[in-house]
Amino acid sequence: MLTFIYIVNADLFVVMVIRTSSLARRFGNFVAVDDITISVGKGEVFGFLGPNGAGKTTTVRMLACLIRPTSGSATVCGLDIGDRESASLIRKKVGILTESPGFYDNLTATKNLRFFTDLYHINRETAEEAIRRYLRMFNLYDRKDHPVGGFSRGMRQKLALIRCLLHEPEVLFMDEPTSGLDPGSARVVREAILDLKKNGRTIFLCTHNLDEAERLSDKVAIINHHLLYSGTPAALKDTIYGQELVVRLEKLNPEIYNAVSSMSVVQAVERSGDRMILRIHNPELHSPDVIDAIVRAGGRIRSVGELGHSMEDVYLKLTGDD
Amino acid sequence: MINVGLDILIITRKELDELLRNRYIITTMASFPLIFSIAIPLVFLLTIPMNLTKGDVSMLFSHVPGFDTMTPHQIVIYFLVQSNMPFYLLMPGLMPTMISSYSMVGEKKNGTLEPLLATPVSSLDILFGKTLAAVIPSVLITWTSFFIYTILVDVMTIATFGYPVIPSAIWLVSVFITAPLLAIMSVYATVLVSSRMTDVRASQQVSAVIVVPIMVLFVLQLFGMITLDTFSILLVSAGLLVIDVILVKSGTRLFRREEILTRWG
Repeated sequence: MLTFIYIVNADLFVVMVIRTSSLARRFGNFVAVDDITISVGKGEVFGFLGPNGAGKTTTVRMLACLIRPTSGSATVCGLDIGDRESASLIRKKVGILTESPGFYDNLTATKNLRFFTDLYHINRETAEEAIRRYLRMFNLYDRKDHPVGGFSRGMRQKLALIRCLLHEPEVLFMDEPTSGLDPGSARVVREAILDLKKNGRTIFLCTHNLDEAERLSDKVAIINHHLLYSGTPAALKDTIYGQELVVRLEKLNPEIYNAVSSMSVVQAVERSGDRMILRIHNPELHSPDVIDAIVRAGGRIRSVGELGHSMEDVYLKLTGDD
Repeated sequence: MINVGLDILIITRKELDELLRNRYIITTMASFPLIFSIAIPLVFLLTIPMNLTKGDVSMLFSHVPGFDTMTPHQIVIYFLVQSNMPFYLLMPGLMPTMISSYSMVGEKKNGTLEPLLATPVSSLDILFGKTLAAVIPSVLITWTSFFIYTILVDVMTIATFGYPVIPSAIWLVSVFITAPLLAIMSVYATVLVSSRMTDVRASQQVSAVIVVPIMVLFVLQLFGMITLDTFSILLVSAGLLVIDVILVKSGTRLFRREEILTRWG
């Protein structure tokens, strides 16, 4: 029996296109994915991060109905992935960009793409138009009649992206979409991802490129077999490091240090030369009090700023590679 | 239901398109009719001596029905023409292995299997599409080779016999029943082997399992140790049918998304 469950986030009224609940997959005794609960809203770019072998591909395969979960549940485009009859419908609504862009090398770019439009039962006229449009968009139109065997890695990656877009999927699962691409091609792919997002497509982005994840993603999840974090990149940094204030002084003496560290709103003080790195409870509210205390203790402030942490710092700390 | 058939045809068409661009397979497949239907019969038909006596060919009597009404020259021709039959079982045994090895292991190696499995097409349709793409050309080449062989042999021997020496019932059963069954067996044996292989050539080794018994059949017949008749070929076909049913069931079970992505090497 088909089940249609479009889940709406009550707070934000965002349609949840992907929603998992305690999703798990075992291979014998090996737990590849355990207790993954995430939700991805319509039109969001969702960065899915984790070390090699963390279970990212297994999760994508479960969500695309290529393999079945051992336990837990998930819906994609409102369809239950555990329902056998939904599997084919889900595969119609999603596109997968696999990490290695495999093609039938003896066939031309157009023939490769036409094979897939045929499998999605797209009528010939619409398919030809879509093939031409996407080949032009990704600067491959001139190579349309060339065998794919002669294509560079970047060209293959762009062609793979076209392949997974031709049936206009609602959800795109992308595994390392810019890996192995030159900076120019990587930019074309990133811009394409943002264009797709603008057009309301939901993108599930598996990547090791943390800068890319931060720039493109509305939300990220970090997994290492189980879920380590799920939320916005900014909230992730706050969760891990809190908001930290860097105060540079003309001279940092013990009186100033003691005045600051004795304040109940200051959670931690780190001293580095004439700099203090302060972690403050509710910094929006209490930063002025802290600055005032420094000045009253005789401190002359050169600069005050927020300490920035890169996504890489956060990722390494969470995955334990720090 | 219409879509199911359509998907099989789409897969088959793509497979055949790829096959036609594979120079190695095309050359090998084209060589079969040239060797077995033209070169070999020409060699033996042009080299049989004319001055044979009954005594020279007495050992062939038990293998040639109606030998007592034939001349020694006719007996040798008839015997050699029939002896070539195992070659027409060899072709449908060998060719599908070559094609389906490229189709299965090649797809796995090139990373095209996952994008294909990500489409809405059922894994059963993918398997059937690939099976047809391996069986159809193999069987067609076997039939074409048989057609060429029949024409060549009959043209060259009609003056000797006064009637066309082939096709006979045993040939018709072998070529039109046994050969397609062998082709199916060959494809599904390759599917089973391909699941564990990552090298096309290695997966083609499965053909040895099929070729060896056929060659044994050929040698035993050539040395007069067995005589294949229509009934024995029908029995072989019945055995192949049973094997095919078992292999198709196992292959179908193995060719599922879950199995391919989690267990195939």
